[in-house]
Amino acid sequence: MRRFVPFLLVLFAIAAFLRVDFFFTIAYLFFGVYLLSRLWARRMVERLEVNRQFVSRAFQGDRVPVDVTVRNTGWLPVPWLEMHEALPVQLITPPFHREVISLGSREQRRLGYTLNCRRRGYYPIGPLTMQTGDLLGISRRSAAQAGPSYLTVYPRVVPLHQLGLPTRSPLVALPAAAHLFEDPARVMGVRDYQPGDSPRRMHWTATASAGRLLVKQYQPAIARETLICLDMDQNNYERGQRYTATELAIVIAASIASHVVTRENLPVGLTTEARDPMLNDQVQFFLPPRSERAHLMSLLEVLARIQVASEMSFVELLRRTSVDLAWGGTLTVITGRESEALFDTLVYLRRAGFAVALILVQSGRPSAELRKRADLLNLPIHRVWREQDLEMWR
Amino acid sequence: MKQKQVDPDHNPWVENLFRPLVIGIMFGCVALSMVEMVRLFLPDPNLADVYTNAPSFKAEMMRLFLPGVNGTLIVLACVLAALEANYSYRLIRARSLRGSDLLRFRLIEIAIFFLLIKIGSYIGESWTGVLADVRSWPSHLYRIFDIETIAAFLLVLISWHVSTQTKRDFDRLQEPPVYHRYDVPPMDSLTGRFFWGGVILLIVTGLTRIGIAQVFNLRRPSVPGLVLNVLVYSLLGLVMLGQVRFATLRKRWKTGETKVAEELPRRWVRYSLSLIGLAALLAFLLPTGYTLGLLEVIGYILAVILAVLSLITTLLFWLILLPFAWLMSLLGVESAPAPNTQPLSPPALGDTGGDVGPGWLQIVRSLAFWVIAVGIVFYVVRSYVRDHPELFESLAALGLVRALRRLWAALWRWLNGWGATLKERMPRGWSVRLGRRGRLPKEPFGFFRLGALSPRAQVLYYYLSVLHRAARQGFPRRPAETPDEYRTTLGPHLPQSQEDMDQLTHAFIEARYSRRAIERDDARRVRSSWQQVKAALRTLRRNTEEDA
Repeated sequence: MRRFVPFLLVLFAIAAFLRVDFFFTIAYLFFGVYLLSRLWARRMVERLEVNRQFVSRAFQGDRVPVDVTVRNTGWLPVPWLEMHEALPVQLITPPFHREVISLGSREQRRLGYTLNCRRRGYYPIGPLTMQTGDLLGISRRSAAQAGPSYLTVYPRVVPLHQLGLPTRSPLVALPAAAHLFEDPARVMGVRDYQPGDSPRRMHWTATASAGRLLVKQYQPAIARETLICLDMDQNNYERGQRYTATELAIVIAASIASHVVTRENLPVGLTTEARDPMLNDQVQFFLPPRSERAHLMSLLEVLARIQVASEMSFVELLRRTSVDLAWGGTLTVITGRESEALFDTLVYLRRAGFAVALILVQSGRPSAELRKRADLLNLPIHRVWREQDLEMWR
Repeated sequence: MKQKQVDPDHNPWVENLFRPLVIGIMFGCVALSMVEMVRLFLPDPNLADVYTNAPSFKAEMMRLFLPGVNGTLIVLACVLAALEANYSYRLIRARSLRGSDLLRFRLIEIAIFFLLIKIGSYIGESWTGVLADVRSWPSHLYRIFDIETIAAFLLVLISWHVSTQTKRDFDRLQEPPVYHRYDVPPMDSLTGRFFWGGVILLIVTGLTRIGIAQVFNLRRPSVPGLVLNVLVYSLLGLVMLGQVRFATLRKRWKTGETKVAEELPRRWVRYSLSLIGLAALLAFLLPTGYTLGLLEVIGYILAVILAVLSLITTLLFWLILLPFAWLMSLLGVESAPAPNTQPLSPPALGDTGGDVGPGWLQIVRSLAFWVIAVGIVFYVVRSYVRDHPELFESLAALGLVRALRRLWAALWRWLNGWGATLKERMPRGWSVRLGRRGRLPKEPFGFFRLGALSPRAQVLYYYLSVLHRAARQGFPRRPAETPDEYRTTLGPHLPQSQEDMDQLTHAFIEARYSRRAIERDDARRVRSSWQQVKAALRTLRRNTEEDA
């Protein structure tokens, strides 16, 4: 209210000029309202506490209820509090939750809404912007913000047969009954401890010396590890169907990983270069093969987050990450486009002792030339494009 | 049974009864003061009666221009007009009256107002008197338009117009803000009307209370007592401001499809009333009356301070002269008279008529009043300027303000420089060491006595003094330089005192950073090194000057 202060000053001037005692009382009344309104408005925001509760991880198709509790910790009531919670449009329409409440002294209110996890992703829930002010519009509005929390929606995991992929060798590891991957008698070095490593592998002497947890690295005898190499370069997918194709590629990666860990009880890893919304940067991910459920969830979490990137070389990534894979391991390469460089790299990897499988996420049937070439190189190539399936999974 | 749902945005009780009634009462408060003001201009009622009962033309004129104003009638008419304005506004909107229809409606409305006021002016008179007056209308048309009727009619018209405009503004609150891009926003219009009404009310009431003749008499006494209509106007106005604010916010929330808590309207009223009640309580507790003006209070305080200073000076002179008086008495000369220890009383103030000044209670009361009043004005202005930085910028752009700011900045720089010099001259370790052990013993008359310092503080002083001198000669110590590093920097320039500089540096490090007790002898040894280094620095300066 722009004119309140000039009015107040005029009141004082009139009272002082006319010397009517009661006019000062009236001026004090207006000043009291002015002062109390300002102090009240300023104090209100400082005493607000916000707590947002929800399950921070969900699968596609889940419904996640969110509870936002706003508590006034002070003695002064909050006459009105306008709240605006920004929400991802992929999960709720309209993409916000607005509500105006009133909080008494030390009162708390709970607001609720439900998110529909329609798409995988890493979503900020919030921030919650709160506005309040005085009752007469004298002081400026006070605002506060409660930072966002994050919800991870995992990609959909489907049975492999639904994707038209083979569930046995050579896509996954060799079907040997014996679980011998590394020879514990042949220690070839140490590396940093990673969650999921067996305590038996711990190199205590080296750990004590280095001051950090180190585990032994054994020379592999034969590997049954699978490394999923996911291409997230947007240029490697068909332009018109880029979104669908990359989402399908992620579903394929998640499904294979889940299949290998849950059905085969074998280790699976992931490598990709993609944009990570959590870091807001293009990141190269490498999750070494492990067979624990927790590891699978970490892998799914990465697959939930990643977004397409540009200006990267998938072939280069393949060559780089194969160095970290034990000899005899399986490389499952998921991409949207075949190329000479890709075929050269796959042949190179095969010759280096890895089992290689190529999954092409493309529409249409595989060309005769491609089939001929795959036969020539002895590479198992699978083409996946079941849009109707993808629609069904959503 | 189906329960009837009430739209919170259109509560008929609030819209059709509460608001018009409040507006009517508020205007009634203003009208009441105006009626009192009109009465001020009337002559003695007895004299008016003499004229009005006489059958001459002069008496006829007096009767016309000096009627007995029926205040109750006017105030009541204003309140009713406010209620009617609300009803007619709704009726026009409902029937979508435009152009000539609207004009006809309004003219009839105004004519009915006049007629009702005229009828109302006959209340209390006998039927024969009324009939006689009505019969005289054809021959004396001016009798229809007597002052009382005209004044009441004008006030009623203003009340009716203001109420219509207020009702219109309340309706406009429900419109999107984009509609008011080229117009005064309804919120501003409503608040402006309330504030202007308040100012007019205060001025009219004030003039009525003090009398027109006394307006420019600045030494007149203050007018005590409660002014009920001003209080009612202010309280109702504040309540209405709260309602206007709520309506504005409600509109915004509705546009934004924001869910509003059910209890909010109820709480809004409750909190608004609490806020206004608390402010009213505060207002009634603060002092309002003052017998001394602001300048008088300041003058009185200055006078008291001067009186005290004068007393102290007299006492001091008496004490100084006392030995001389004693000596003079030995020589047979009369002794000095004892000082008049009675403090000089401050000058008598105010137009109390005599020499007696105001009582202490009055002075304290006036002082409290002015402190509060000046504090309030200062706070309000400061907060307003803070809330409107653009105002501050435009003020700062004024030439006079710019010059004053430059002057202040120069003064501040000078004070800062003076402070920095003082700080520089003071050994840095003092504050740390002395902070732990208590304050320095106070030096009489501010003289610095090195010997009074502790041995540790002396060592610190010697080293820091060398630093200061060396810095003035162009060898300052860099902020990141340790004492040892500085020794290697300065040492080559003082080849004859390098050893002394080493000792001084070592002693400083020990005094500053070790817990070992520093003895007087240690300080004495360091003193000789300090003197040697000082001498070397002096020689270096002389040589440099000669070379130059």
